[in-house]
Amino acid sequence: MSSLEEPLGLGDLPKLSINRLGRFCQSGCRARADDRSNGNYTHSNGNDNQTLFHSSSHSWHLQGNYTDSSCNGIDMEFRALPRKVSWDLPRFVKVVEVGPRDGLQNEKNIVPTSVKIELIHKLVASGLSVVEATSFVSPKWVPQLADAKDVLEGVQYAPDVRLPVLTPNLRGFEAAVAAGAKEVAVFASASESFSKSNINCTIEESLVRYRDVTSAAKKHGVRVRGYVSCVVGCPVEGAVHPSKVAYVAKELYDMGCAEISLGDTIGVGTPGRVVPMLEAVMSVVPVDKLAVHFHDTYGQALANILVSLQMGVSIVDSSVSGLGGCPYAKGATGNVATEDVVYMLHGLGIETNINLGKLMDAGDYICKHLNRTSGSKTATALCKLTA
Amino acid sequence: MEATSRPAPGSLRRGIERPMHCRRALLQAMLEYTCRRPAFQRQQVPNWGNSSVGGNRHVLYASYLSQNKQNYRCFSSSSDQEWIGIGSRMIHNLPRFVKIVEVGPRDGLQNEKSTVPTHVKIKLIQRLATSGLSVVEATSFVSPKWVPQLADAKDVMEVVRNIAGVHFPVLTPNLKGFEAAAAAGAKEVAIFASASEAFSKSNINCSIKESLARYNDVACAAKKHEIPVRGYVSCVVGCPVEGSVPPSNVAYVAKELYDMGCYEVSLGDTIGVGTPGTVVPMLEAVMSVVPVEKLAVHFHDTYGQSLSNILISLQMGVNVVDSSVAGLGGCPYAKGASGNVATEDVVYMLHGLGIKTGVDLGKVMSAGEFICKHLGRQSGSKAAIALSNVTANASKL
Repeated sequence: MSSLEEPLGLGDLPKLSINRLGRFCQSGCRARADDRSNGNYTHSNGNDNQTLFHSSSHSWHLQGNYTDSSCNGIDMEFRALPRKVSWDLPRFVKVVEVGPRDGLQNEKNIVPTSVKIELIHKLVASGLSVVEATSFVSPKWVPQLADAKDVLEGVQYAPDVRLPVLTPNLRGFEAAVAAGAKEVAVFASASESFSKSNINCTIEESLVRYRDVTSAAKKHGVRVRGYVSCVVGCPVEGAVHPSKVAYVAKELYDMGCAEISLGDTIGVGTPGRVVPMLEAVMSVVPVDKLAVHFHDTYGQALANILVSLQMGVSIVDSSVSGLGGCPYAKGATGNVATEDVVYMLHGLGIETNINLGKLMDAGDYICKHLNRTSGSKTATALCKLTA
Repeated sequence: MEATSRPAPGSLRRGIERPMHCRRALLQAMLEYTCRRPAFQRQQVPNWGNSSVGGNRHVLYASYLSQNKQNYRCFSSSSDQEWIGIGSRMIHNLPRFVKIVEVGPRDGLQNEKSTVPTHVKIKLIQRLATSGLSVVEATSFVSPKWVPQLADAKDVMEVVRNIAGVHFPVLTPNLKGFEAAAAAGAKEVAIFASASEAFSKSNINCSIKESLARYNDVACAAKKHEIPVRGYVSCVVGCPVEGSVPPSNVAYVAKELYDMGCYEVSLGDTIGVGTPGTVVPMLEAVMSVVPVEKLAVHFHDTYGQSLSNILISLQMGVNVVDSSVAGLGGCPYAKGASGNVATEDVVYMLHGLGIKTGVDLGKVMSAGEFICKHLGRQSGSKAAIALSNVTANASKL
């Protein structure tokens, strides 16, 4: 295959067998019977979405000791693998697309409503089942999303496509419901300083506000998604303790949020900090209700996503073309690019129901409008592949 | 951000070698792990209770927070203490130290269109050498016809060979290149073979076997001169001509290089198409014939996948990573796309994992700034850009 449009996944590997090795082996010994190339995709008990990848199922030989190999005269000396990396990954990962809201909200030039609507159409067409459409906040704070009502009215879809909208308070919630919203999102911070500087109130005060929203949402049969920001670091305070994140996540979960998205708002996290944070949260919120929302400001997002998948998380937020910069580091990037995430997930053999090509079309569309290059390395590479 | 104390490698009973479905074995592993850790890092083993979620994985974390609230508080006063939780196998069996091999001056600069003056190359190497990097690939003794950018190899070598405490491998595609390198004072050389037959033919105009024969000559000559040789395997995951590359090919070439005397074999994802899904089988294949401590990984960030590939490689036991300051070095197979992974991003991640590198991130950033200023463009390192532009205490970690 010379086409590299889809990532080389597990399915592309030729049948792994010692026969292949034998071809190069001077003594041309016969193969060992132990060929597990078809993959032992063992499914652990329980969960439907469980596992997929036992790396040792792709190894040529699983047991440590080969000195008694039945393969006589083999030229090569096989070593026992020093360690087997055996981890369970979700079979399916839901990608939550935040481009139209989180991505566009900081754009200086107002993006026309029609362009926003078309972007959302294209994203949905690529297979994304959750697209954060807009935000019902005061236009004074976020002028870019002043057309929230019009955008929402322009994007009515089949029930299996979710279009959450941000609602910072009851007023925003009521406006959202009036405009036809069936899912809303609330945002709390794990850092007190960030809460005060970003939404002008303490964490507790924000939680009180959101309880009002979730109560109202329950009455209207509207689903609520909770976000926790600054789950690893805060632009004001620095490091954020995992227990604080767990506390806020639990509060949001208890008040009725169906899903909690944990956001590394300034992108400073590495797996070294993400893992303890996830452990803390997973002790109080079931992992299947958790999503991760990593920013790629320091280039760490995909590594953080990988380790989150290894921990059992199966929902990932991302933004087409990496839309959305970082307001705390001028010129730095923000959201991780959906195309890069999907490329990795597909390469891991994880299903997403997303068509990467159509996703790239959506990215192309919005980047053309914004007149800049994509923030996605995958999209850039695939567009510019030479023969 | 580095951990002050880590369990010695091998002192952990590896829960990862036990089948995941064996709860008792996992608990046993955790208990042993707990006992081996220093007192201030010990935490109670969580209740092995039932979780409503189902699946053994989740049971580990039941009622964890309430048991460990005290432990959480005791860490909060120590801002430098890397908080490590139990059960996170993904980050606990990582190497304690990772050697970074800086390839910017050679792999990074070789495809630059405008020739970089010799003194700029030398200054870059000098800055990199003072940042704590122990290996900096200095240049390449190839025909100037093929790589005009590195025509000044001899001049660069003459200066940098005097820098003490740092290794400066140079590329030598054949015996002639080796002799020129040795004459110029090189104390370490590197040879490049491909795991893909098609790429070997299109890139260096000969088959894999022919290239290995050539390198064997270089390796023999190097042995006589007591010059260590570093081996590179290119296209370890994908080839721009053939597509996917069988792990067995990679293992074969890696073993050949190792057997002919290379002290280290660097596995390169030349076109950056790899993901952990293809990197793991490739590493498994190679690790079955070359000891893991002799392996390095050289990922390209063309598709943004390199840090996750590096992470999985660390989890597999690899502890040598190639990277390029400021992400120098594009991808000749995808115009405008990026190439090498940026050293600053790699170091940021490693330090965040509590892994020592000996590298001063600030000094690498300043070397990166220096070369980017000269080249008239922005750094290819996201960490460098963020750290240079961050406001307030956003980077206070």
